[in-house]
Amino acid sequence: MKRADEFNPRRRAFLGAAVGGATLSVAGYPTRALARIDAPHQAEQLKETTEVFGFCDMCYWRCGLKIRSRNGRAVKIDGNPMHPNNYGVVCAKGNAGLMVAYDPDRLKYPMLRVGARGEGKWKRISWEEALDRVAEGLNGIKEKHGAHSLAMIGHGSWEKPYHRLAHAFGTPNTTSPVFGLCCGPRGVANMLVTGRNLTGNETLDLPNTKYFLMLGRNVTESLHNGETRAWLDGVANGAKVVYVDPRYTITASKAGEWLPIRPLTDHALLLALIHVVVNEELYDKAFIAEYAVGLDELKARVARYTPEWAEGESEVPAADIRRIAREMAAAAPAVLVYSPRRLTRTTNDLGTGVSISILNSLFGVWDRTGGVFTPQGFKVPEIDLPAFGHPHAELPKALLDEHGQAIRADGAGPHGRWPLANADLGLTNEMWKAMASGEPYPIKGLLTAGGNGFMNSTDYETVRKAIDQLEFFVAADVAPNEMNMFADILLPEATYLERYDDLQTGGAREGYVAIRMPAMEPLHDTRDAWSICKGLADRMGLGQYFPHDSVADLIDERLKKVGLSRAELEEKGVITIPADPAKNFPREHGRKSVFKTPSGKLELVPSGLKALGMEDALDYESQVRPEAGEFHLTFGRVGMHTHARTQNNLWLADLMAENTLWIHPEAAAERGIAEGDAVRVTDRKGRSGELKAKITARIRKDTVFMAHGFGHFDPRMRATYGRGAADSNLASADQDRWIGSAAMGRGLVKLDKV
Amino acid sequence: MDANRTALYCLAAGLFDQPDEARNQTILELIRQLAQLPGSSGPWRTLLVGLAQAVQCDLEEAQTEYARLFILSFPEVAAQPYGSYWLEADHRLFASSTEEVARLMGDHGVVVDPESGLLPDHLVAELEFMAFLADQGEATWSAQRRLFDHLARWVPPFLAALRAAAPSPRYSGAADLLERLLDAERAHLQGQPHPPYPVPVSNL
Repeated sequence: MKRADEFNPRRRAFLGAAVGGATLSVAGYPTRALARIDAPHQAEQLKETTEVFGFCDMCYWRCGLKIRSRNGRAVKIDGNPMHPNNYGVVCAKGNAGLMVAYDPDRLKYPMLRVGARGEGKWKRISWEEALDRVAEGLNGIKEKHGAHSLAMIGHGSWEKPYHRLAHAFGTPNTTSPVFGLCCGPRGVANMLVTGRNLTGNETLDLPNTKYFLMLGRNVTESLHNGETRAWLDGVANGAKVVYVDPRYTITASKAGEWLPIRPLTDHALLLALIHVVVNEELYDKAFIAEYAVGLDELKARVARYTPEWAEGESEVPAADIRRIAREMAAAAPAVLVYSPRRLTRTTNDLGTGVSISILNSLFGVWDRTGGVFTPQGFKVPEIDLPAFGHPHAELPKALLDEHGQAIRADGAGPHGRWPLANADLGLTNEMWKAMASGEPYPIKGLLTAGGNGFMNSTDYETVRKAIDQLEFFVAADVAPNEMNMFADILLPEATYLERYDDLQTGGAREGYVAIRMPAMEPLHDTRDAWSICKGLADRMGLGQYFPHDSVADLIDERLKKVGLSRAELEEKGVITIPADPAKNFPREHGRKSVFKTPSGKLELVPSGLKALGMEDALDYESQVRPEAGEFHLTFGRVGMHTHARTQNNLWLADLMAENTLWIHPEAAAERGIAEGDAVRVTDRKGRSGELKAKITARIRKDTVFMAHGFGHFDPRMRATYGRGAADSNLASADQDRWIGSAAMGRGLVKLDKV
Repeated sequence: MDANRTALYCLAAGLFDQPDEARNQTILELIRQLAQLPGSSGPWRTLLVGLAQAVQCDLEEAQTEYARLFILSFPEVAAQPYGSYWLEADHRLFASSTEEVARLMGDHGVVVDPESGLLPDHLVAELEFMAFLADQGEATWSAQRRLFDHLARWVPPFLAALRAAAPSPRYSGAADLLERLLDAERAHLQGQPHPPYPVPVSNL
């Protein structure tokens, strides 16, 4: 195998040929495009095929990849069979990654806005000028308004250096949608009950599970290779699957039972299940006695949540609730209440997440075969950096922490309105609102790394208003989109096939560390995120936070700390610590489980909630109900697209170019809507979108569904522009009352045949 | 020597490249040379004079227009200056057709300069390469024909797209020049009678 040359963004050699230093002149005129090849017979070497390793960036599961390149051009993506996230499997999205690099519409050069913001008039500038201007612009924001008036929003595996840059700059306002718009509540809930975090690449022993209760966890379409394959192994091994969702998904088709629950009432079902389990003493008594606290208090709290009550809320028959509780107890501990991955639906997702964690705990699934295993981490220390010195802010005292530094504008973290929200990832949904309103203080600068606020948040108007408040907006990204169209300066990023990135470390049964290597040189005049951030940091007097010349050097240093080298890692792409059943499943091997909660035990009524006076999050909170003529609006993923970022991929658009609106046949007939008819969907605020109808009995009569990520309104996204409708401008902008995450599932809509 | 062919390809490459002060001076010098040659007259001369005027317009306007037409614009880039965009069914860049051009370049000892930010089948790279080949006369006749065939497959739809975007005089003139050059070259490279160059090849 040929290893890629050490990455250096300034040294590019198409086709792998050595390039001469002398400028090539033709008829006395220096050419700009051409250079002489130094070495003789170089053409023979152009035929090399190289193979490098990486990890995917087409979704957030980060499968291990093996990428073949020919003549300096990446030509084929396969899975790395050694990588624990996918063991060699690559999905349609992963295969289509090549078209991210070869997209004719991708951002190619640093661009400076020359027209009105959002007008779409640009001129190309050099990297030197771009970085100078960005550094000057950001420092200008700091001088004029304070460092805290900069927000950084990142989305993707390359966002890490931007977070570091923003912290070095001195703002607390760094955020990523992964928390407030996706997985936040379930991560917090698991931490509160168990001291463990199950988000990321989940530590579930899926092949050996005997009973799955899946709460809208559409594992076959929210496709993550390793997870999907492991779950299908479990099904093939005879697991019973009870699938709970208002919609009959592909995952439902693999289940033994489909419960078309009333939308937004999962928490009611869970509380009733807990009620049955504790009152019928179906829980793992020995496990709970040894490892849990708060059973009596829990029992008192759920006393009112009988299956009959839950049937009224959820429309899941009480008899089924009792039966499921008993069936799961019989199969325990090889059972899983399988949480939604994105748990941002209601005003009490925290309570839903806590209930899931409690129920799993009552069944004693932790560290047991078929339950939740303890992962092995592969710890690679970060490099040593100076502490971030956030400056004292000129703000009212209520907006300062004990050190005189600004608290976060989105309210996330211990000093804010949402103390349980992650203070590093923040609440992107609330950040947009803060930016739009100027409360609690104005945000005047914005640095984005990937992402698209219009398509992954909940309200176009809020995002647009937020952008209108900005004095300076710089966007780093691979492709143009609705959000970065408004930037003052565009910084074109190299794709994940063209760069090194920081290490991927993870914990599964095996611990692992994986590398992303460039399969080819960056096309056009693009750069990797680390080079961009270093260039900015050096100009802003923050170079000490980016001490390496390249990210390749950075990962070299990190690996040396654990006795490895980049060269070693590049041989296989991933280095693993072998699975160790005794560590993964200690309770199967006479060992003890460890739960890092304040009490050291599973907390069935979490002390972390009590300390904040938030234990009422355990209680049920009624959600919205549609009035006559209204529907619940639901949305979700499909197997060939990820969020709102792949719809313009030409290969994936070939598989699915637009979304449709799922409508039950009776609801459609009442409105004279036939298959393929154009339908206008309008919410209570008057926001609307148009898309074609898909008439199907695979959805409840009071509910409609559309795949997420469509309805792009940027005409530069030619493959997807104007095709389908965007759920993001119809979803509710409410928030979880405990944690501040988005409550997107509360959208109610009416339909009109167009 | 096909010196005027070389100069014309250099001129075309310059016109379709990112405008800056130095490039504008080079373009004007090339135009001046071509226009002052004995026998230069007729449509070519008119074209060159028009280009000379257009090139001397406001530089920032030219840069903005260049971005609109070829790099990044709303609602779309008017004319993608990459061969593979027009030749590949899925419009991808850096495709096998790009590799063909790169291989031809490699056969003649050149590559695309890594600092240029261009792909081998970017219009500027192809035109400069043709200038490079033309400068070597008949010794590279076969390669010139191959490269011309490549250009001839995608430049016409590219120019049609460019003209449809109502370009500024600088780029409508560049389109006229390139079209006229390729028309002349088509016959020239096939050894057939062709429309006159600015001056007869033998005079240079």
